[in-house]
Amino acid sequence: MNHAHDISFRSMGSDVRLIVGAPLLAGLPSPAEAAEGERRYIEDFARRLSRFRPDSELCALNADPSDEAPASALLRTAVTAGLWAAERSGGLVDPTLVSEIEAVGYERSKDSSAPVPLPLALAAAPPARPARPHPRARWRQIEIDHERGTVRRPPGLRIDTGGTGKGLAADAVAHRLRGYTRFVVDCGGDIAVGGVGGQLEPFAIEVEHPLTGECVHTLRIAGGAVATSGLNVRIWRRADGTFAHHLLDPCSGEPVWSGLVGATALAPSALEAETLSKLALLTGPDGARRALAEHGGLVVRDDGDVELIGPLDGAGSLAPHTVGAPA
Amino acid sequence: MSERPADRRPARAPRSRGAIGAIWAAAAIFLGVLALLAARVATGQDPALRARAAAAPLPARQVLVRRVIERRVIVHLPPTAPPRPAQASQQVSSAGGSASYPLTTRTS
Repeated sequence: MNHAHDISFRSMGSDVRLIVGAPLLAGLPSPAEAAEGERRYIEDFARRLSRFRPDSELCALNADPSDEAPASALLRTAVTAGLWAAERSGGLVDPTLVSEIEAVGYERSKDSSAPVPLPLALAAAPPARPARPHPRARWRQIEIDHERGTVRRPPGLRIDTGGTGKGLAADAVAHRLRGYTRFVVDCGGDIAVGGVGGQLEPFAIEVEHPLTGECVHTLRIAGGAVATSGLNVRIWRRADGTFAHHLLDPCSGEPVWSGLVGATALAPSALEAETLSKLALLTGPDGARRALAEHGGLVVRDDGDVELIGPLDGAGSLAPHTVGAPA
Repeated sequence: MSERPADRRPARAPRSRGAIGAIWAAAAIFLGVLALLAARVATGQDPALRARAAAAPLPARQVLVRRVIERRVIVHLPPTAPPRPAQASQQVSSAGGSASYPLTTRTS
């Protein structure tokens, strides 16, 4: 029987969990050593790309007054991932909304503050409407030069890699663990799974309801990724008494109330799953059906109802299928 | 002159009988009317009460009413989410396919 090493820790403002099975090849570190190595990798990843640490590489980039700033391979990759997500989402998952997210009250980490109850915020929310991309699409002004090791953007245009950072981290660690029989990389709900063992015994992943905390669905995935976005964790009350959360409408710069409170997406990579789950949440029920149609997923409406979308019972390398009916 | 007293006596008798008759008649009428009124009172037709009821109504009593509208918004909070795993925990699961506790995708 295989033994898997299972560790949990806090990083990137989220719970992180790593499960590493037996190595496929001789000479690879033990599962425990591999898990500890990946833990250090994730903590370093978070430290270098944090928007809330003045000494991070991301903050240094945003503070650089020139139009071309040096950037490490990791930072360039993170910015590239943000631009990829913006392209994939038609500009809705926008990495340039730093001033906007600070203006609504998210200028420092909320890891230590309790969220306000989501039902209270929903009771005071404006009528539901889907988000729209920023008309000027500022993210298109960002260019990555891997040869020169720089990032070019108009001076003053700040970048936030947080929207896609956990998915990117999960993919990176999953890639590093590909020599093991099975592995799970859970970066705050953005989960990448793989290994040959998954083909024999798929991973069971429960989807948590954002309003009740209950499991509303269980996915079985042989390999690939799943991610969840929701309004129930990073949500707060502003000084004027209104409620705000971290998912913004790029056009208005205000929190979006689309009629959905949670979205879960399946995809080949955690980066894509995270992008699709955000896209689904930003666009509301109708947009979510389009966003999740290809790989599958589910959404939770304002009233708590759950809707399954796409090929949850399909076959293929992702091989996700449902077990049990939604609650 | 001596016949005057004798002349007066016969004249007195008719006058006395007339007075007595008048008294009896008055008493009879009084009792008749009394019986009639008693009967009407007994049947609920008291003329005094009817007269009071027919009188003009008293002016309506003015009462100052202050209406207080208190609006209460009751929000049924969902049950508390299940506890998350302890931070910085480390454990080894012996099952190849199953984790020590369920994998869960959630908002973070």
